[in-house]
Amino acid sequence: MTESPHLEIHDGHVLPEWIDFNGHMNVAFYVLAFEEATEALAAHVGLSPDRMEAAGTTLAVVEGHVTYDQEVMEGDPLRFTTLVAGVDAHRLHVFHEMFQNRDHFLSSTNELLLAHISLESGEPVPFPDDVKAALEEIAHQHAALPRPDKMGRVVGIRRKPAAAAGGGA
Amino acid sequence: MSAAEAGEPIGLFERDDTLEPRWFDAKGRLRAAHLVEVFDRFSGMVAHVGLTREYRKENRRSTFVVEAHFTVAQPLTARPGERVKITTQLIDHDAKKFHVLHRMSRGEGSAGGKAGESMATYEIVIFHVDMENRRSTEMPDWMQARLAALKADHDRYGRPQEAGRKVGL
Repeated sequence: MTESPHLEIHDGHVLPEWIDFNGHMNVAFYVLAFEEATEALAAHVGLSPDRMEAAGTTLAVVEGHVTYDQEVMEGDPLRFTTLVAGVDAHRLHVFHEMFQNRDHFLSSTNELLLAHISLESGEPVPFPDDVKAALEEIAHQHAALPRPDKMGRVVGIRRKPAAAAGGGA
Repeated sequence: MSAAEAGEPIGLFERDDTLEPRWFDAKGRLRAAHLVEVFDRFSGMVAHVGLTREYRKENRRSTFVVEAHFTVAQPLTARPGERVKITTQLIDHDAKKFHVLHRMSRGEGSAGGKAGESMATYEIVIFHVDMENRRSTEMPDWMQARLAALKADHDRYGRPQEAGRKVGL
């Protein structure tokens, strides 16, 4: 297993209820698994569920992109890595990767734009200073790393010579 | 020959649905994973092009999502039990895959906003898969013809503004 230069603060495994009629982990549960990775990042930088509860805020998904690179099956061990791509007063741009941690292949990626907002009004709420500083510190370290090629993608059918006919997720 | 092949208008596929209370967390947030779950319930489009349960079973074929992009217009305004409308537009296709954009809009009598207001989009590329080797494979000619007729019809709606986006700050 290769060590990732990104944060490694979350892991898990494929639960039975995540399996669909194709016999593999269903698309929706990848998004759920990545939400848990986002929660791990938030806690890592001091934005714990209790703290948001007390402040009446939440970290909401505004936009997301998922690549389904290789299927995973019930019980498969999962390892997540997280790159902090950017942060501003109340928004956060992250890129997660999910690896199947037995055969060590990339299963999926999830790029997210999140907003720290008020549960009451839905209006943006600036990150607390210490949280913003922690996120900026990680973003600064990650800015020196090469950007993964799965970042910044758009959905579409690419018509290149002998277009890739990959196995799909 | 079906109406589609005869060149008669088909229109976008529409489906009514309800946001199930179990998809909301204790703070009343609809989680992104469940948004994907609603969209993944698929539309009349799948049946229209012939990707029925019978077709899948008899031919050992299925469909896998390989890439997805979602946008959430107003993260906190969805309400448990809210009636929503899902519309589906075919954007593109080739012999093995197709590209669609689903949109969730508010239904009549919505508590969270005006009926017809866009709440979220889910843009995906789906592969037609041979379940013997779990790899992408060409669709039969008749299915490709149905997709071509559908694309000719849906092109008149133009490209949705949420299509082809990248995630970023």
